[in-house]
Amino acid sequence: MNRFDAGLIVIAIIGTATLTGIVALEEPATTRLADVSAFEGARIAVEGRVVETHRGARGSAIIIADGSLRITALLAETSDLPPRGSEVRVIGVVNRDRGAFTLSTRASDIRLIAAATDSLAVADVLAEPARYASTPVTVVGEIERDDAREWRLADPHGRGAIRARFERAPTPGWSRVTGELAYEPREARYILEVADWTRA
Amino acid sequence: MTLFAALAGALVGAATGLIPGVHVNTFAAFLVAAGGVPGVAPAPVASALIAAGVSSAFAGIASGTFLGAPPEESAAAALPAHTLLARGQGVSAVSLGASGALAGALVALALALPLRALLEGPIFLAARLTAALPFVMLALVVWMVASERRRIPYRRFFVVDPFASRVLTGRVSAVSEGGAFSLEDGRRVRDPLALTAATPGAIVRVRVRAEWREGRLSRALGSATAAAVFLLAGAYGSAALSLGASNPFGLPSSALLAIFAGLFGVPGLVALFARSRPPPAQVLFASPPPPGAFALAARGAFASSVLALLPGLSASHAAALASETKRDGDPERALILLGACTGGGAVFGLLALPLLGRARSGAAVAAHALDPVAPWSTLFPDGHVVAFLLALIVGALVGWWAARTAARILARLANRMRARVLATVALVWLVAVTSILGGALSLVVLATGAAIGMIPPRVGVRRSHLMGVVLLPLLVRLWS
Repeated sequence: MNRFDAGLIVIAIIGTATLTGIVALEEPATTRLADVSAFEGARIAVEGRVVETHRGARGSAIIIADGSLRITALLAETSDLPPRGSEVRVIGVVNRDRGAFTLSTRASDIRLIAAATDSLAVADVLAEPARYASTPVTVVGEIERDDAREWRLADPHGRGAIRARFERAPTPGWSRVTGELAYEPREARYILEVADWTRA
Repeated sequence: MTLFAALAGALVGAATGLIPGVHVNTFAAFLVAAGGVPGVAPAPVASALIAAGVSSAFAGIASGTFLGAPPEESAAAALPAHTLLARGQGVSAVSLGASGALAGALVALALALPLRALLEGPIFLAARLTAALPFVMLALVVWMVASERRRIPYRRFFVVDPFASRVLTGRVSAVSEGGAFSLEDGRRVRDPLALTAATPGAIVRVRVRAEWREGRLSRALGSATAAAVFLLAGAYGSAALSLGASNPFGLPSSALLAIFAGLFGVPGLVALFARSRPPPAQVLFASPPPPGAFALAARGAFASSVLALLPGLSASHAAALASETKRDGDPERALILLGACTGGGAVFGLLALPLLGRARSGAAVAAHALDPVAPWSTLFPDGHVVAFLLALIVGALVGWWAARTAARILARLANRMRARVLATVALVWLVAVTSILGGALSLVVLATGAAIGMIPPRVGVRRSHLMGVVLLPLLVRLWS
């Protein structure tokens, strides 16, 4: 082995270590899920709430929503996944899988921003709304429209309802709704700003 | 109308395959937009997409051979193709690869219905293969590394050479026949011309040069070197794939261009600078396929069809493994086999949609979105599936023609230019395309890949160990 060969090996090792170091240390800028399509093939970071988790034999997937869109983050691991409802920051490479944009990531690139709160009943929130204000909450209840044609999340036992504001019209029914409770001074009541919802 | 659309799509697909860095999915995005325009019939647009998906993979064989930036599907085929290119048989290399791909595509079409029964039901081979996959892959990779034939000399000895600069001084402990003697500190010196009158106990001062020879561990050292190359390429692939590629203009991008151009393209071009003699002129006519070519193609098509349908595997993994199972030192036969993997994988990636209801390629998804493809489960499919199959065949034929035509044009170009000028132009092109499509960081990926790609020929192990770039991340994924 001459000096050229040794130099090649050193360059190869240093280059690989540099790339690995960049992957480990570099924090890509946070991208809104609605803008992900402009970053196909790039490494980005997204923030959002975990809406669903799936565990398979060879990998797992988490579906994240940020109020604008949803994206599936695919992991080649079956390690512990963040619980539903928790807020996470995920770093990964944007791929197009069967037409839809996905994020290829690793468990170590998923960071918990805010832990999930357990699902609350509508009555719990109505009893102490100030306690849950400005924090992510997951509430289980009946999505329905009131007399003023506004969406609300109703208690199944008729103990009241929380007004809910959805980005897009939801499907009425028994659902698990994740969002943030905010006080609306003009209406003098709390409104649930819904980030995402699923049928419970 | 459908036939003309397929023909037009195949021609555009072939163009995307010939230009490194331009993916057929970019074209697909434009066509999907066109398909949504009122008044445009979706069926012909879908046919164009299908044909483009196939012809792009075929045409990539020519760009991988001559331009040094193979697409993912034909990366493994770049190795034997470059061997033939260095002998002035680049046109033959492309012709064999494209013919293998065409045969592989036709075999994949013929095998479609039987394979469906084999993989999905009633035999359900896909589920069994998926379960066994981690063990099969590990065994194949271990075999690939262990079967490295390079023997590395590691036993150092000295040869008396009056013109050498190194001087050795010591007391002679033993003298053996043929002029060899040992010093008290254990160093062995050969003196074939008997220039030193060494006798036991005498103190000698001789000019020597160091030489190495093989020993019992030479074979193991060869395998260890192969394993080191495999692991280095794998670590590089894991990092580069995790890093992705960020297109400065917001266009779709992939780290694979910089990775494969670095590993397989740049080393070959740099080697052109190092040659003391100019490379042989490129022969413009293709040599005929070797005997048993169709059987080889059938094997490649079968392997890639099965592997390309398993979750997490693509035709590039199939090709990487196929290049290991067929290693008799004959690049012509290897090209037929790997070409069939490319063709079979491309066709089956698209056929998975009507056959299994699962889309394995972007072009198939886009086509399905425009004009939903009906399932294919009977010997005589309906008109929709027939149009789909027709588009596949048109794409394969156009891709085969485009690859061979492009090879002749590129070979003529190579003959007109001096090798170093050609290498410089190609290098500048690769660097420019990589940085434009993948951003500045892609240049680090390209340079690192080039350094890794130059190691195997320097240390004397097979370049196929570089396919660790895709195999190691897959192994990690399967075993994690």
